[in-house]
Amino acid sequence: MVRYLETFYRRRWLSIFPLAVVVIGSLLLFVLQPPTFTSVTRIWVDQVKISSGSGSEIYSSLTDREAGLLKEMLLTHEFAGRVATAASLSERLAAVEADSNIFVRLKIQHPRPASADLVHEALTGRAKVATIGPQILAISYTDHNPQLAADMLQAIVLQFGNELIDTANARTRSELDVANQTLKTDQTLVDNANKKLAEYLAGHPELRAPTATPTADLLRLQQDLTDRRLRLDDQTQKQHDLELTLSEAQSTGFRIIDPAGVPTLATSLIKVLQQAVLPPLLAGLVLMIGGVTVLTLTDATVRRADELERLIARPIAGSVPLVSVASRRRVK
Amino acid sequence: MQQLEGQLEAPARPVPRSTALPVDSTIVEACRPCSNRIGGKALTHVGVTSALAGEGRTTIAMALARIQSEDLGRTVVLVEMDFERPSMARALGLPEGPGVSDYVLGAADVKDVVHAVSERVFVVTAGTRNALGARVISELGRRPLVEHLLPSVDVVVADLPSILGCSYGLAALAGFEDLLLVVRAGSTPLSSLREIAGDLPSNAWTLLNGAKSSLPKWLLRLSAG
Repeated sequence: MVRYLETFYRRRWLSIFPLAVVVIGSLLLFVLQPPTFTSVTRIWVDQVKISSGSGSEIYSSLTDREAGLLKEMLLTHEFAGRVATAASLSERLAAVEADSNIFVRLKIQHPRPASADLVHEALTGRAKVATIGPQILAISYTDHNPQLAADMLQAIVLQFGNELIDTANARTRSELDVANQTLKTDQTLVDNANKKLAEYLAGHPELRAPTATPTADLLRLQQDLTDRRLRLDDQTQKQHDLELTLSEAQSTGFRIIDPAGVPTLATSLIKVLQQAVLPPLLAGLVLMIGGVTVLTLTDATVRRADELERLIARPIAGSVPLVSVASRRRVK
Repeated sequence: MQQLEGQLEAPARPVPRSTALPVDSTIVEACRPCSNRIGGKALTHVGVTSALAGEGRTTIAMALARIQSEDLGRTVVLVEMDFERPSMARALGLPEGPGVSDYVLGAADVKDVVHAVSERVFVVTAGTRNALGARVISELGRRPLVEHLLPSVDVVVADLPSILGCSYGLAALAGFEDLLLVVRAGSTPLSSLREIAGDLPSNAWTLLNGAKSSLPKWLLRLSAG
């Protein structure tokens, strides 16, 4: 430990220099950057309407599932592409970036053209999703332009809702297809049972009389027909329900509590400072500690008297301090 | 054994004390406790060596010689036995030879090789036959110099060659009552010290040269506690 500290103090300027450069660079960038605005929306997730689907078991609640779904969607190019088409967002995003990017302003970097990739990059970096309660989900989007921040967030929420509806519809259609197939099969089974009963009665006309005592076979055929009809009724009901769900499936399963408005206050300076300076500071610290560790580990020389005594196993007569070259020249 | 009584004379014009042996006063100050620890006034012949060249042997040897003469009032002979990198003649403004190599190989007499630099400090430089360093060391047994000098002086301080720096470094250690291994802080590799640790005689002392902790005093106190 002492050796490590000594290495640090011996090379303190060399160690601190990269850290200082990183932090000062970040601070400069922070100062030169225009302010940022964060638009926030909060949505209420309806626990009943959203049906559990595959993968829901990995989330502790439906709200968590919705948050997880949105986070995954934000990472996809498909979702970004759909958001980009709304209200010419990619063009506006490119324009704001060209105005606010310090490197573009200093002509170090060319402005990037409007594209879905630009929107994808913005969504992955600036949109944040978090659950803030058992049923409330908060989504935020940060941009240098407050109006664009609000519009982007509205587009995200709208597209998220559309995706949920599309997904639910696709699932219902699939279930309806299965139900129709089953219904057909059940209808055939009822027809067959009916036919068998008619044939049996044709072979035993005495059993048609209302006072006739039914045979065991007749009772079995009648019971079979009743069971199959009941099952057909159930299946018909299920088909009707699914058709109804499909016709009404315009509900997203959530409702917006706080709509995405245009933010009027820029993001807190302290918060921005934390975001702009803290990561470089941590990175610089890691770099510094790593550098000092490497220097310490690669220093294969004796530095202290106790190390020497341990290594040589001979008594230490003393130690002579380092005399500067200038002092030595004076003596000569 | 040839006696040198009366042969070592003080110079006609003694060199001023401060310039007799040009060693920084800080180094001399730091070497005082070291001199006492390794024998002080009882010291008779001490060899100063190091693992590698350039670790400050000559400076430490000069500092020890200065302490013995100035503090303890003893007559000192400083003998340079590093034949590969002799530096004493130039440092003290003395002729290169005749010196140790010339004496050992029979080309000069003792009184010719001893140069007085002050009232109580005499110097024997490496000499002019330095290319034959290994032979000089092996011949020392037949024509011992230190033993010749000792009856006339109180203490002999030898600036020995580095142990790993030349082929006869280890052989040169033989015969010294006390040995001082100079290790330069931040320069001497641990591997070199490990290499010589086993070969070093048990009478050897070590001295850390150029020790400087870069830590602030408060942190040093804290780490020591």
